[in-house]
Amino acid sequence: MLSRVADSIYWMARYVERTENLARLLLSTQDLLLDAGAEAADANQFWQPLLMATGDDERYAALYPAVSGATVAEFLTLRADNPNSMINSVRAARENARTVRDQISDEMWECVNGLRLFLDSSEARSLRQYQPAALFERVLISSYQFQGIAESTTPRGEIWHFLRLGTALERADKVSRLLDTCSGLPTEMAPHPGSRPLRWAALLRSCSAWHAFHALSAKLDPVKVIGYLLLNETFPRSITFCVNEVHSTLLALCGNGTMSEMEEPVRLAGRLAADLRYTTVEEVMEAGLHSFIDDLQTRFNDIGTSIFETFVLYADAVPVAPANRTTNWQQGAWHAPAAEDAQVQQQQQ
Amino acid sequence: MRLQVFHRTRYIYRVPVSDSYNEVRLRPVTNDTSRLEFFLLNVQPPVKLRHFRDSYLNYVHFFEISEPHRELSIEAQCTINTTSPYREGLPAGVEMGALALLEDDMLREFLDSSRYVGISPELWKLGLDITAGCTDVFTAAQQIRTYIRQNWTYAPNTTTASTHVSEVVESRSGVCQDFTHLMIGICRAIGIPARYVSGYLFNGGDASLRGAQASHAWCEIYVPGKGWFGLDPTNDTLADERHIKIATGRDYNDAAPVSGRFVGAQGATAALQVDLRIEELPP
Amino acid sequence: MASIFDDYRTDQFFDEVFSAPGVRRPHYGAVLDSIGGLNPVDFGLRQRTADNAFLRQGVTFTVYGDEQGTERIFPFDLMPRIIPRREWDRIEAGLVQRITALNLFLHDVYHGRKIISDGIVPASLVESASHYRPEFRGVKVPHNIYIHICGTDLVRDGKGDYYVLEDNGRCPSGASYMLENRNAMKRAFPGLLQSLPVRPVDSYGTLLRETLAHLAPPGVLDPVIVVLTPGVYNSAYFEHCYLAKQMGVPIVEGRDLIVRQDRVFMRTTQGLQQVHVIYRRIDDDFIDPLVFRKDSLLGVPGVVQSYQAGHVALANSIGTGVADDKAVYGCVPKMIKYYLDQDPILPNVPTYLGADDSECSYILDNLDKLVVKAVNESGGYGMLMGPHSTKKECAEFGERVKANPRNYIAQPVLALSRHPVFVQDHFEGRHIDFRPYVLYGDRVRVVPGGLTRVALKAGSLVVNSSQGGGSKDTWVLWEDRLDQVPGTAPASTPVA
Repeated sequence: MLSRVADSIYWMARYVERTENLARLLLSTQDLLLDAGAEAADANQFWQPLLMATGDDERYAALYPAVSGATVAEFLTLRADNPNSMINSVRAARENARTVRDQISDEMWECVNGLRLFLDSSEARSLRQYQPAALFERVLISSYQFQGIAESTTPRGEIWHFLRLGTALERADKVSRLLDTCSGLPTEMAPHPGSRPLRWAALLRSCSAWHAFHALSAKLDPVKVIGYLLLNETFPRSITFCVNEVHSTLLALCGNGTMSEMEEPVRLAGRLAADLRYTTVEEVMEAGLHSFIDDLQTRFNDIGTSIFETFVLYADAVPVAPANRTTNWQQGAWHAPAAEDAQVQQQQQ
Repeated sequence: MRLQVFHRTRYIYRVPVSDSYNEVRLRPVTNDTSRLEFFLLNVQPPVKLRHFRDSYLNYVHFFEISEPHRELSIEAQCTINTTSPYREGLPAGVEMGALALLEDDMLREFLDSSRYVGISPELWKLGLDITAGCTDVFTAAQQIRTYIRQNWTYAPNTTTASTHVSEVVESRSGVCQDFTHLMIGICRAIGIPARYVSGYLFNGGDASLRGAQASHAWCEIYVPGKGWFGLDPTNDTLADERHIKIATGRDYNDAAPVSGRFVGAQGATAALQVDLRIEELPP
Repeated sequence: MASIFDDYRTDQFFDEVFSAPGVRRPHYGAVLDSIGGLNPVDFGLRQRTADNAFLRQGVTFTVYGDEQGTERIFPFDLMPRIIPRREWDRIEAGLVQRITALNLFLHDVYHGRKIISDGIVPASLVESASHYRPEFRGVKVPHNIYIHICGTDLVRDGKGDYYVLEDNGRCPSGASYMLENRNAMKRAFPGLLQSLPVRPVDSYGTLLRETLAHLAPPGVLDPVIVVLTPGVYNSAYFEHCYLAKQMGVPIVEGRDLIVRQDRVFMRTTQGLQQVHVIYRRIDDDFIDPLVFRKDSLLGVPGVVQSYQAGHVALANSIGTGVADDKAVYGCVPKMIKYYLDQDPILPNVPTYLGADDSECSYILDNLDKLVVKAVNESGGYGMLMGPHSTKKECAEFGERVKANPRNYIAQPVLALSRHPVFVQDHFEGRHIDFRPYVLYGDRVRVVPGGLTRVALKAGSLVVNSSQGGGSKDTWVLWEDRLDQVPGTAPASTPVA
């Protein structure tokens, strides 16, 4: 497969996953506020973490004077000048899909193209204003559709592996950021049964983990929640599960090399998988959730970088010794520009 | 039958040759039973292509390439609609005696010896033996055709384009061109005017029909009062709508699909590739 | 029976469907029965459904110089254009003849130049053509074929005769719309197509792949074929992708390819992989910055050297634009006579050359009656439609012709044929042209269909997608007439 194509497929999957996570986060925060009752008076404590989870708090602060539900939702949903907004993620997913539409099934392409057309439509804008939940649900369903179509139409070859890599890494990254937003909260069990540990509940909901977690434990013990989202090996959105997925996918891509010939991404992912496997939640709490997650994020980034270097830059380093090694390789995938008009078009004259 | 023919002849030379002059007879005949819908001759290297019609009314395209070249490709394509000349029955009922009364000067040359067909006492005797007791012209010709098929072996690569009929009588083997020369010789020896036809045979996937891989040849005899009728001695059949007629003449020399000369070293021709495909089109 | 076509007017033009108001041509019979029976609301609904499907599938093109919606659908009209078998046979024969002659001409121009030394085509005309590539003189190309994929534009005049308007021998586009339009028709009128003797076009992908595979260097049995695109921002990117997908080959950009030791490789996740055939959708100028435009970022440095060394094949070959030149176009009938010893089956539109002094003054005297075109522009850019232009526009254009006469040709304004097109809630006549696709691999093949382009603006003669044109599906029939849709036979027909 072409390196550029691999890169685009990987990023297409990441952006679809990013969109889905954002939609779920917005939806669950909104639901939470409806449940919150009196506590909702200080709505900011619910919206601020969203900005942290997407890593956009600074950009937001530059644009808006204060944190409020309406502005945060606007900022994260249809704002074109926020590169991490939902619409920009969908555009990026769609642009990447467009460059590889000969490689993916027509149904996958139509699904992601349809989502972009929808978000650009006046219908989406009016839903955003009057029925935001319906908008987020629609985005979620499109993402599920996309994953389902991908699952049932993609041959289990390189394309599939790069799709899984993108999805799993993005998911691990987002869950870790969400966990991090809770790292400052008290982790003792709630003092009396009537009190509702709303933030922890919201965390579970925004990871689609509410039901799965409750099947294991009736009580909302924050440490157990952290352990579940971090270390559970069966729940498909736990970080450990995602890292195992990344590791097995990389093994499928690179083959089982010997230790000495092992490709860098396999080594990094394998080591992380092993570390997580032999870590207990108590150790995490002892070290501090925030610093543990900081370390995790660094390692996710390293894995991402080594995947890019191995599969995308790889080609240049192979057979014949290059006379003058080209260094002007641009990343193949399409990313949302910081400002909409910064898009540079190259075209045939 | 609507047939599409693609026929490419490629000469590859070991060393560059020059001053090549060529004549090709590749344009199918249009007459009562075959209608040419499309014809195209593509010669590479590109040349100025011209044509004339020879004394047998064949279309002869000719061209010259004076500058050195290492390859010559002659590609003929055509779409043609054919019907069988026999669709109204066989031209039977003409007595051998009628042949003696023929006075048409045009037929003279189809009774005499020609370049590759010499009338010999041997052929005459063979003809009399085969047709002994037969008084019908067309039946006699059919007997000759069947006799050749039964007593001569189809053997590619044992003869060349310039094999004379006397050698064929001797070797008892040959290809369509040789069978046709032989049949012409026997017919002429007993007084039936006979001529050479070059063309294509569409075998429709029937591998038992020989001569479909390259240019084919068969024979036409003249039945007094009825005209020329084709018989295919190689396959022991009538020449019907599967036979696409291109050129006629006294023998191969008059109807050769490609003939020419060039200036070049001895044995300059390294390879001759013939690619012939005939497909049936929906009517 | 009332029909949606009852009020249709043919005016003074040659109409493809009606030989006179209310008098149908026999090859449209069954389709008129079927479509004519719909009410305008139903027809409009099907039309909108088709439009939405194109948008959803991203069957779009990019309009240059348009800041807004960068991608647009190519407007599609549901009423098919039908070509009876008799006409098609002639078109096909004419195209095979023409493409054969054009290839011989290119071969000749870059090698022996006999047609020039025999005085048939002036050397100055060839050498001044902007797409002539003197660098390619003497370069042997695979099988001596230069134009492998050709999209020749045909028009019909007021009498219904077909003429060749231009040959697109560089990177003709639109084949994907031919295929997608057929799919749209199948969805909009399920069952109708199956019941009619319409020749399928879906073999195009397979034929294209065969054509390209035929070019592979000798000895390569299973060649690696790629489609080279300038990138996602190119107006025809959808088409590049679509064709790659139809053929099952990768689509690459210049940066995906790299030349090492005169061989072309693509960068893959498994390392470098050699490429044998490139279906390039990048113009000559941009394909290799080492040879042509130094500033091109779209091309592949060294690919031309590799091509000359015979390690990679390009389709179309380099330098084919000389046959596209609108002044060289005027010589095509002479080429056909010269190389093939035949008369053209499809005639040219009469053409006046600016390069010729007497013809140039004719052009300048009759600007208001002629279509004047710059010889090296395509897509409807750089032309003057005399009768539809103001005096001032004519005068300005005249100055440009005077400044560089070689750069212009002129043709009489043809009363292009018209075809009914659905406008809001009824049918109106609009001018159309026709672009069939010719593939030259082992032999010349014409796909039985093509792209019928429609000038959507009333009275307009410009059909280009970039200038407000639309398209129609084109049905080539196995027969000469379409009397009725089988299965909807009148009750009086005896049933066996």
